Amino acid sequence: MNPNVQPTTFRQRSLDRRQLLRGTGVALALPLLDAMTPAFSKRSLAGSESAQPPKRMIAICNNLGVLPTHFFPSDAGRHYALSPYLQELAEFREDFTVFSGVSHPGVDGSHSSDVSFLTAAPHPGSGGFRNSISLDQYIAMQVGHQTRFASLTLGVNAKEGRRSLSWTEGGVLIPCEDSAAAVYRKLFLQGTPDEVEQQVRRLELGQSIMDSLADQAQSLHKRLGAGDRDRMDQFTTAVRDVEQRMAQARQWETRTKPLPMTPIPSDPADRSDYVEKTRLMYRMARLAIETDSTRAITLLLDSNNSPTIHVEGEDITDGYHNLSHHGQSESKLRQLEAIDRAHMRLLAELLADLKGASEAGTSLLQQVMVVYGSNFGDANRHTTTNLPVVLAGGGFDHGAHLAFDQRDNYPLPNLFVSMLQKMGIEADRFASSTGTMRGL
Amino acid sequence: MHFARSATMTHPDMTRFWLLLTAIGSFSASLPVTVVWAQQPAAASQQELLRFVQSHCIDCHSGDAAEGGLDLDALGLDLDQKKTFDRWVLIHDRVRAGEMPPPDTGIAVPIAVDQADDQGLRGDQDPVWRSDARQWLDQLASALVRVDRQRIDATGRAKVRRLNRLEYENALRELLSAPWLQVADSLPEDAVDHLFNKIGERLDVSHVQMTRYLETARDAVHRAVQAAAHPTETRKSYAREEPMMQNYLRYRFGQTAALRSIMPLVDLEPEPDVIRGTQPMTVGADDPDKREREAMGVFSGTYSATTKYDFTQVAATADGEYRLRFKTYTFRAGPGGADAGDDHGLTGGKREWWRPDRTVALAGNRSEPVTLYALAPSGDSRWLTTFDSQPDPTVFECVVALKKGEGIRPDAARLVRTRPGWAGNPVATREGIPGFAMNWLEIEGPLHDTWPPESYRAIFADLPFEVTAGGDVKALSENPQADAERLLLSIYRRAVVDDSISPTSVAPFVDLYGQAKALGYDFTESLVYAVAAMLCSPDFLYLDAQPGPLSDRDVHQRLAYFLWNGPSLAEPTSGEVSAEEESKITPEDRARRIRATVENMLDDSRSDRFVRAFLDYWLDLRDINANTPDAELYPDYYLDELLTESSLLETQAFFRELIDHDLPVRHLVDSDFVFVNERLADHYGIPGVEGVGLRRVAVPEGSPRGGLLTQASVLRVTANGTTTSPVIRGAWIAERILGLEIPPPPSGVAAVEPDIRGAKTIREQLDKHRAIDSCNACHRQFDPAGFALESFDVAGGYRDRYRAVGDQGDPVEGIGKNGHAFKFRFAQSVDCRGVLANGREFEDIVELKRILVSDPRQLARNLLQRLMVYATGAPITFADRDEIEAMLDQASDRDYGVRTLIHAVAQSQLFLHK
Repeated sequence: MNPNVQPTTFRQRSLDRRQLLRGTGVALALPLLDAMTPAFSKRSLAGSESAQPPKRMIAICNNLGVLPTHFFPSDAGRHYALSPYLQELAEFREDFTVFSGVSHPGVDGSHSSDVSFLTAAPHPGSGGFRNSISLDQYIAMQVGHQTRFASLTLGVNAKEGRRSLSWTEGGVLIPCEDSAAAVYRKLFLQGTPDEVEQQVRRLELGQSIMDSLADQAQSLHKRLGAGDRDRMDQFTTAVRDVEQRMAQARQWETRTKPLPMTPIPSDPADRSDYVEKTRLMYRMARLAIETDSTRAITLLLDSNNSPTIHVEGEDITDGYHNLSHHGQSESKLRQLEAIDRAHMRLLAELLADLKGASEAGTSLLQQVMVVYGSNFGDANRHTTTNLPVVLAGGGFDHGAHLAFDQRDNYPLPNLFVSMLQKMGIEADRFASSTGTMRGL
Repeated sequence: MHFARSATMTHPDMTRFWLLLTAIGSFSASLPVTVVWAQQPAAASQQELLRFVQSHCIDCHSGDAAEGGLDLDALGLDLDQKKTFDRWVLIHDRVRAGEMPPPDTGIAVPIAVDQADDQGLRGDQDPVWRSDARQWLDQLASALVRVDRQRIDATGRAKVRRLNRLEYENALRELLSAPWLQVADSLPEDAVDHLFNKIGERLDVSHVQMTRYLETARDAVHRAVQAAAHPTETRKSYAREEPMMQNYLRYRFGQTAALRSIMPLVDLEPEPDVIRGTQPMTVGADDPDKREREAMGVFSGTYSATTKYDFTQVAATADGEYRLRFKTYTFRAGPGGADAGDDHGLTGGKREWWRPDRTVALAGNRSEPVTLYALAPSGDSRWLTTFDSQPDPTVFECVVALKKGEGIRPDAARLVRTRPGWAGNPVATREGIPGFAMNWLEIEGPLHDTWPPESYRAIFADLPFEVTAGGDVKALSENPQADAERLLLSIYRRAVVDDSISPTSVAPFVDLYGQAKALGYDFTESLVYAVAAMLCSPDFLYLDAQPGPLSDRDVHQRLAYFLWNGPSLAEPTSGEVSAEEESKITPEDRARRIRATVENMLDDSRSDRFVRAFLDYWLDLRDINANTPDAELYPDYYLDELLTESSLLETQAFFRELIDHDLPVRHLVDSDFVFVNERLADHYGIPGVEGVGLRRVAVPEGSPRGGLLTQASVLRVTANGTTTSPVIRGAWIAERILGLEIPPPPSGVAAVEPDIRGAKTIREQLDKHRAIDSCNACHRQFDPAGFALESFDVAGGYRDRYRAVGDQGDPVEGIGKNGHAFKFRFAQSVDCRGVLANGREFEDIVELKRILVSDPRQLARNLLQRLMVYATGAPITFADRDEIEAMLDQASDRDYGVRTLIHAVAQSQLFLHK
C-alpha cells in the first residue's frame, strides 16, 4: 500500500479497448473435429495460433481397483505377455503403457485415498488432512481458457459433494457431475438467456475491473523508481492477460455450442446400472473431447459407493464393496473378476472410439491421454501401493510394461509431470514428483 | 567462481574435483570477516585493482582454460553488472578468508575461518604479500561498497513488492474488520528466496494470481457483508442425537469391530439396549436431567471410513468466530469385547482382552488429550485447539474461527488409530479399554461485538440493511451515488492508511461502481465489486516507497508487516501533531517512537503471526507434515498427530519466550529450559508433566535437550521420516543456525542411499565418501554437526542405537499406534562423535552445543540477517555488512538478546530506508 498515493487520472477508454479486441478477433481454440464442427470452426482453425491439434487428458479412477493378480503382467518390458485383464485391451497393445510398482508417496488412508489419486496429497483420512491441486485443475489453470470449459469433473455413483478427483490449489473439492444427460446439456444445449446474460455481465464487469487496474498500474508506474518499474510491467501484463481470458470466456458464452451427432442420453434410473452409467460417461467424455469443449476431464468411478451392480450375462449377488473384500472366497473372486473385465471392456470401447475418430489427419487417440487406474493396489487389503495404472494415447511411445520396485515404489506423480509436459505445459514438478516418468 | 588447482596437482578424478571447486566457489559471503571503513577511502583506480590481479591471479585465471572457470580477463570490472559485482564479492571473500591464492603445496582447500588471521588471510602466506593483499582487499571492498551504495541510492535496497498471500489475508482481516477470514489457501503459494516469501524480486504476478486475487477479494468482501445476515445464535447438539455417532453404534457392513464402535453411556452406566435398538437413542427433552448425563463414548481416533465421532448438526452457518462449549469426560470400557458376534458384539463373537466390552463401563483413570478439528463437508479437517478431557465430567469453552458449513470433529489423540490390518490396542490394559466421551456440544455464533457486525460496517458504515428471502444482505441507500462515493473514499483511506486522500483518488472505483450499476447489479453488489477491485489495485497490493529514507508512515507500515505480518490501520503517531511540532522532532525522538511502537506491536497478540511466519520459513516448520514417520520403523510416531502438532507449538512458544524476555541468542543453540506438554515430555524423557498445555520446564540434569537443535520440530523437518542424514542435518545447521551458505551438492554425485536393514550405519556409508579429498573438503565443514544429531531419530526421539528392519540386532515387538503388530530391531550403536573443520572435537550433542555457543556473535549475526531480510524484503548485500556489524557491536552489551536484535533491526538505517 502506498500511503502517499497521488490522485489517479482515470481515462474512460475501457470500452474502446474492448471493442478493439473484438474487432481484431482474439484467437480462440474451437472445435476441431471434422465431422461435427459448426461451419465457423474450420475458418478459425486455419487462423489459429498453431496448426498442431491440442493435447487433452481423460483421467479415470475406479476406487475399488482391480484384482492385482489378474491385472499385472508377469514380465516387464516391450515384449511382455498381456495379463488376463489386459487381454481385453489386446487390440490396443501398441497404444498403451501399463505400469507396476508405482504409487503416490505418503498416500495411505484406505478408502479416502481416491481424493488424492490426481493430487498425490499425503495422508488423506488423517486428522488435519488438506488436499492440494489435482492434475486436471493444474492443466485447466494453464490452458483452460482456450476452450469453452476449463475442465470437466465427472463421476459415476459418486457421493455427492464429498468425492471427486478434482481439487483446486487451495484444496477445495470440485463436485462432480453424476448425470450423463446433464453433461450433454452442458456441452451442447444453450443456457437460458438469463443464465448467459448473468455470466456475460459478470465477465464484462471483470474486464472493466482489469482495465481499471491496468490504468492504475500506469499511474503507479510513473511514481516508481526505474528499478521497480518491471514490477508494474509484470502487473500490467497479468491484468491484460486476465482481461483477454475473460474476453474469450465471454465470447464462448454467446457463441453457439457445437452440434452433436448423438441424441441426449437418458440416465439409468438405478445406481446398480453402474456399467451402463460408466459407458455413458465415457461417451460424454469422448464427445467433449471431439468437440474440443475442454482439455481436461476427470471421472471418478465410485465403486465403493455402489450397490450390487448389474453386469450383463453375469450373476452378481453381492455389493461391489463387499465383493472387494473377497477374502479369497471363490464365488466372490469370480464375480469380482466379471466386474473387472467389464471395466476393461468399457475402457476398450473408449479407446476404440477415440482411435476410430480422426482429427487433423491423425487418430484422435494420438491427441488424448487416457490415464486409467485406481487408488487401491489391492482393495481386499486396502493397500495404496502398487497401484494398477494404464496410460493410453496422447502420442507417447507405448507398448511396454514399465515395472518398478514392488517394495519401494516409484513415484506416480512423475507420470503426471510427463503428461503435463506432453500437453506443452512447462512444469518440472507435480506434488511429490522426482522427475519425469522413467522409461516413458 | 571457481578455484585453481595447482599445475603440479594430481587427482584421480578431475571431473569430480572440478565439481567440488564449483561448489566451494559458491560458498558465500556470510563469513564474519568484515572491513571497517573509518572513512570512505578514495576510489582506487581500476588500474590499481587490476595491477594486483595481474601479478597474482591472472596466471591461473584467464582464457578459456581459466581455473575454476574464472576468466578474470573476460570478467572485467564493470561492477554495475550484477553478475560481475557478485563475482568480485566472492573473489574478495575468498581472498580475505585466506582460501586464495592456494598454498604452494597444491590443492586449494578452503580453510576454516578461524585459521585466518584477524583481518583474514592465512598464516602461512608471505608477510609482504599479506600486506599487499590487505591493501588490495580494502581497495576492492571500497569499490564494491561504493557501487552497491550507488545502486541503493538510486533504487533502494528493497524492491517494490506484492503482498504475499499471508500478508494479504491479514490485510483483508484488518480492513474488513473480519479477523475470522481465511483466504490464504485460495491464493497460489508464493515463491521463496533467501528463505522467505518476502523478496520483491520473487513475488511475481501472473494471470493466475490476478484471477485468484480478484475472486478472493470479492468473496471476502461478500462474506464480510453477509455477516449481517447472521445474528449470534446458540445451538446445542447432544452426542446421542448426532447421526455420525449413531451410525457407528451398531455393527454394519464393513464395521463389525468393537474397538471402532461407539458406546452409549449415562455417566458411567452402559446402555447396551440403545445399541440393540430396544431402547430409544435418547430420553430427549422429557427428562432433561438424564439427557444431560447421556453421552457417547469412543475408543479409537478418527478414521474416515470406520470411526467418525463428528458433530455435524451444529455446522457453522456463516464464516465467523464461534464460542464452543462442551461437556466431556473419560472412562474405560471393560476388557474382553467382541468383534462380530450377535447383538452387535454384545454377546458371542470373537473376544479379545484388548477389545472394549460395551456392557461394562468403568471410571476413567487418566485424562485424555483431545484435539478439535473443524470438519469441512468435503471431509477436510483443520486444527482448532486441544484440551484434556478429565475423568470427571467437565464443561469446556473456547472461541474458534469457523468457515461456513464446518462442523466439529473431536479426536482423542492418545487412543489407537486403527488402520487396515490392525490387531491390537496399544493403550488397552487388562483392567479396561480407555475411552473418551462427550455429552453435548454447544455452539454460539457467529460472535459479534456490535450490531450490525463490524465487518458489515467496514463496508457500509451506518447504512441500514435488509435481508432478502434468499438470505442476502442488501444495504439500503436513499442516495446511492453519494453513498457509494462517500463509502469508497472512507474504505480507500483506510486501505492505504492515509486520511488525506482526496476524493479524486477513488474515481476509478466510483467509476467501476457506476459500471456495475449500469450492468444491472444492485447497490450492494456494485459496491462489493468496487471494493473488491480496490483490494486488487496496485496501491493496495504492492508495498512501495521512493528510494531514500522512508516516511514515518512507511516506517510504521514496514514495522507492522514485520511484526504482525500485515498492515496497521492505526496512524503512526498518537494524537495530533502540528507541522511545527513535527519539525522539532529530533532523531532521538523518532528512535524513541519507533522503540515504543515495536514494544506495543510485540506485546499485541498479532505478533504471533510474525512468530509463526518467521519460523515457518526460517526453520522450514511449514513443512512439518511433508514427511511421515515410517509405519514399520516408527510405529510409535506414525499417525501421532499430537506429537507433530505439539512439536510445532513448542518451537513457537520457545521463540516467543526468547522475544518476551529478551533472552540471549545463545539460547537458540542451548537453553536450560524447554516448552513441553505431556506428549513432548514423554518424548524427551522429562518426568512429571501432565496434560496437553505447553509449559516452561527446566531441562533435567544430563538431558541433551534445550535449544532449537534438539527440538522435535527441527529434527523432524531435517529427516525424511525413515532415515536421518548427517549431511542434510549438518548443512541445515550450518545454513539456518550459523548463517553459512551451503552450495547445493554437485550434480552427478548420487546421494547416499539410506539402508534400513541394519547392515551399515550412515557413518560407515559416508566414510567412503569422506575419504575422497574432493568430497571431504566441503563435507567436513558441515557433516560433523550432523553427526552429533545422529543421537536423534526422525521425530527427534533420543537414541543410542539405530532402528532397523531385517535380521540384525535386538528385536522389539509390540502394537503400534495404528493397531498393527510391529517388529523392528535395535541394530548398530549410534556414533555421535565428530571433529569440526577447525579441529575441535566433540563427543556428543552436548559438547557440540557448548562449542557452538562459544561464538554468540555468529549466532546473532545469522539471526539478525534473517530478521533483516524478513523485515525489509531485501537480501543483505555487500554495502549492508558494515551496519550489520555495527548493530552486533551494540547488541553485544545485551548478550545479543533476541528482543534487542528486533529493536536493532527496527532502528537500523537499512530498515529506515527503502
